[in-house]
Amino acid sequence: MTWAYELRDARFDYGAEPVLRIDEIRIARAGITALVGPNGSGKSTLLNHLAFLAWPGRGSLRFHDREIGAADFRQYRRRVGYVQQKPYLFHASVRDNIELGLRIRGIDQAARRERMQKIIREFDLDAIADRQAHGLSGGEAQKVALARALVLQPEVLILDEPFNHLDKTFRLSLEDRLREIVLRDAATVILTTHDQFLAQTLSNQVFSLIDGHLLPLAAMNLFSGRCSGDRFVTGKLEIAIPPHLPAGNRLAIEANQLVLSKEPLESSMRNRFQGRILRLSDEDLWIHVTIDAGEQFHAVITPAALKDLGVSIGDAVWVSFKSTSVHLF
Amino acid sequence: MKNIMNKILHAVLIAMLAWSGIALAEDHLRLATTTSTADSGLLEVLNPAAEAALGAKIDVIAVGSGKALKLGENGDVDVLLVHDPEAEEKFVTAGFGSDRQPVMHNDFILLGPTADPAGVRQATDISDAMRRISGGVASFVSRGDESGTHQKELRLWRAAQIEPSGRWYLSVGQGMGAVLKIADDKLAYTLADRGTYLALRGQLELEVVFADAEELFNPYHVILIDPAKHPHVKHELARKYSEFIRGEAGQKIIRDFKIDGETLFHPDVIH
Amino acid sequence: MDYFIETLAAALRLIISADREIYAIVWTSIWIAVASVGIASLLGIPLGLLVAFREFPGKRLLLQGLNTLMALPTVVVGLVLYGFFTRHGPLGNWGILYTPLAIVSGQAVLILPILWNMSITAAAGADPRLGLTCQSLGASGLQQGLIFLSELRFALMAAVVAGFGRAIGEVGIAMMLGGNIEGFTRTMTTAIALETSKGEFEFGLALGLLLLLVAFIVNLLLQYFQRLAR
Repeated sequence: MTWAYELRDARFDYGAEPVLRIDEIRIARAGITALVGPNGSGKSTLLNHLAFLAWPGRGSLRFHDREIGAADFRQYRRRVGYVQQKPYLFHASVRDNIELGLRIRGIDQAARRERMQKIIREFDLDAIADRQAHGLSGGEAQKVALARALVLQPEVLILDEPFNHLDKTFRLSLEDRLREIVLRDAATVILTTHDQFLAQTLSNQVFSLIDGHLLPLAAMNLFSGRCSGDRFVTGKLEIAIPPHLPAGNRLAIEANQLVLSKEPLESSMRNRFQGRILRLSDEDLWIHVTIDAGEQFHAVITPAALKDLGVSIGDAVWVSFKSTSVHLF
Repeated sequence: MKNIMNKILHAVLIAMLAWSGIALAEDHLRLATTTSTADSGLLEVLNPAAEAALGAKIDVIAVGSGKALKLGENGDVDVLLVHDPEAEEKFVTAGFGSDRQPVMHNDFILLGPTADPAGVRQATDISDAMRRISGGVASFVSRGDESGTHQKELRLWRAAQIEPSGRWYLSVGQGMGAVLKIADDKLAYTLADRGTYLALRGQLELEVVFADAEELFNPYHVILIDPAKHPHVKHELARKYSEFIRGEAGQKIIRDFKIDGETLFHPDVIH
Repeated sequence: MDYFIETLAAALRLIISADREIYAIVWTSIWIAVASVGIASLLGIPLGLLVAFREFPGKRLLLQGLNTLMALPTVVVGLVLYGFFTRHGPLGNWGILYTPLAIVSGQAVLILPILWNMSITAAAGADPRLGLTCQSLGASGLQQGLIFLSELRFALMAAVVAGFGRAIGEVGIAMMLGGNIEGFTRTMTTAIALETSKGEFEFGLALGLLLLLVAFIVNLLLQYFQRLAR
C-alpha cells in the first residue's frame, strides 16, 4: 500500500493549550479515509493541516513520499480540494463560484467552459447555475461547494462533514461518486463524520479523534482511570493490559474487537466480563449492542451473529477481548 | 473624585455666568470696517483708546468695503469705517448713512515679484502699468470680493481700457492679507493698500513696483448709519466714536501708528 | 422673512437656469473630491486589507492612531501642507500651492485615515471562512486580495462614499491650499464661505442648496452600500 500522507510526532498547540497531538498516522493513497470525532476534538485543525493550510508547532509531514516543509505549503494547496463543514460561497453566481478555482489556476476559457459544463450537469445544478450563491439552501450550498472542489480534479479531496445537509438520494449518489473518483482517478478522499457506521461502510480506513488524540480505530469503548501494573483500573472494572505499554489515563477498545458469548469462553483472551444487554439497535447493516458489565461496552455485530447468539435485551452475556486490543493514551 | 469634578464644573459655570453678565451689561458698538484697517493692526491701538473714551465695547467686523456697506444697509452695524468713495456716496444718497466724514488716507500700491517680468517699474503712468500686467507674462491676483481695494482695481482696469480675464487673472474672493500671501507664492502682481503691505512686509518677497500716482489715493471715511432708516442703531455712541477718531487723540494715534518706522495712515482732520 | 424667501427664490432660479458659474464651481468641487477619493482609496484600501490580515507589533497603536485621525481637523491638514507647498517650504519648487492639485493632496491626506480605517473594519468583519476558502482554492496573496476586494465591495464602497462626503463638504483645505481662485480652485464650500462676503447671498444660497443635495445623495448611497454589505 502506498501512502498519501505520513504524519509523525505532530503537535498543534493553541497558546499553551494542546489542540492536537499525533504520534504517527498514515493515510492510504487512492482510498477513502474517515475521521470520526465530535466537534472540538481537533478535527478542523487536522484537516487544515492535511489541506496544507496550517502548519504544526512541530512534527513532520510526508506527502506522496516527499517530505513537505512549511515553505512548500502554498504550492501543494493546489493539489487538494477542500470543502469546509459550512462552506463559504462568494457573493457571486453559482457559476462564478465554481469557476473561480479554475481562473485562479489560469486555465484557459475553452477548457474552463468544458469542465464547468460537465460538473454542472453531473451535480444537476443547471437550474440554479445563474442564481446568486447567497440565498441557496443548505443542501444546495453544499452541492455547489462540492462542485467547486471537484471541478479542480484534485489529487486529494478533503470533506468536513459532507453529508450534513444532503438529502438521502444525493447522499447515496455522492458516496458512489467518491468511490468512483478513488477507483477511476486514483484520488485520495479524506472525510469526517459523526456517523460511526457510515465511516465503517464507506471507508478503507477509520481514525478516531478523541480530545486531540488521533487513534487508528473506530473507538467506541472509552474508559478513564489509571494504570496499575498490568491492570487498568476504572473504579468499576480492572482491565488487563499488556506490559511495557506507555501509561495513560484513558483506555479505548475498538467495537469490533469485542466478542460476545452466552457462556464464558475458553480462550487466551485475558479480559472476560459478565454483563446484561441494555440496548440493541439496528443501524443499516449492523446491530449495535450495549452491555452493562460495571462499565458500559459497545459492540457491533451482524444480524446473523445476533441470531446465532440468541439473546435479547436484559439477558446475561459475556464480553471478551484480548489485552493487546486496548489503546492507552 | 466625582465631587471635585462637580465643584470645578460649578465654579466654571458661575464664572461663565458672571462673565456673560458683565459682557451684557456693557454697551456695545458694532463697527464694520475694511480688512485693511484690521489687518494692518491700526484698530488694535485705536479702538482700545476709543473704548476707554466711550465707555463701551467696540465689536469689529472686518470685511470688504462692499460687504461693510451691505451690513450698514441692513442695519446690522452702527458705524462704518470704509474706503470706497463712489459706493459710499451712493450709500449716503440712498439715505442709509446720515453723516460721512473723512478720517485718514493712505495710498494703493502695485506689488510684484522682484524680477518684475512685466516691466511694471518702467511704466510711464498707472494705465501703462496695468497694460503691462495684462500682457499675461505673470499672474495678477485680484481681491475679487467687492471690497474698496477691489473697486479701486476695477476702476484702474477700466481707466486703462482693459477687460481683465484669462488664465493670468486670479480672482480669489479673500481679504487683503490672504491675497498678498497668494500673490507672493505665485510670484504674481497685485494691488494693495500700503498699510496692509507694510504690516505684512516681513513675510513677503513682493516689492512695490508702482506707486505715488494721483489715481492711487485711498481715503477712509467714517459713516454713521441713519437712525431714521434703522431706529435700533446706537446713533449717539456711533457719533461719539466718529468724533473720537477725528478728534485730537484719535488723529494722534493714527499719525503715530508706525510699522518698522513707516507711517501707514495719514490723518485728514488734524495733520 | 420676505427677504429670505426672495433670496431663496433667486437661488432656485440660479440653479434651474443652470447658471454657468455655479455649475463650473460644482464641477470643480466634484472632480477634486473624486480625485482625492481615488488617491486615498488606492492607498487606503490595500493598506486596510494588509493591516487587517497581518499581526505586527504596534498594530493596536496604529488602529488607535487611525481612529483619532478620522476626525483630523481640516485646518490642521491645510496648515501642515501649506508649510510643505509654500514657495519657502520643502516642496515649494513644485509650485502646486493654490492649484487644484494642492487641494487634491490635502483632501487625500484628510480622508486617507477614513478609507484606511473603514477598510480595516470591513476586512475584519469579513466571514472568517473567506480567507481559508481563498487559500484552499490555491489563491496567491494578490489573488486573495482581489477576491477580498470583490467580496467586500459594498462595505468598501461605503468607505469610498464616506470619504467623498468628507472631501466635498470640507472648506479648510480648499481655502488654505486652493485659495478660492475663480474658475480654477473655487469650490462650493470656499465660494459659500467667501463669495457671500460680497453680499451675493443668492449665489451662496444656491451653492449651499446644491451642496445639501450632494450630501443627501452621498448619504443615500452610503446607506445603500451599508445595507448591501450586511
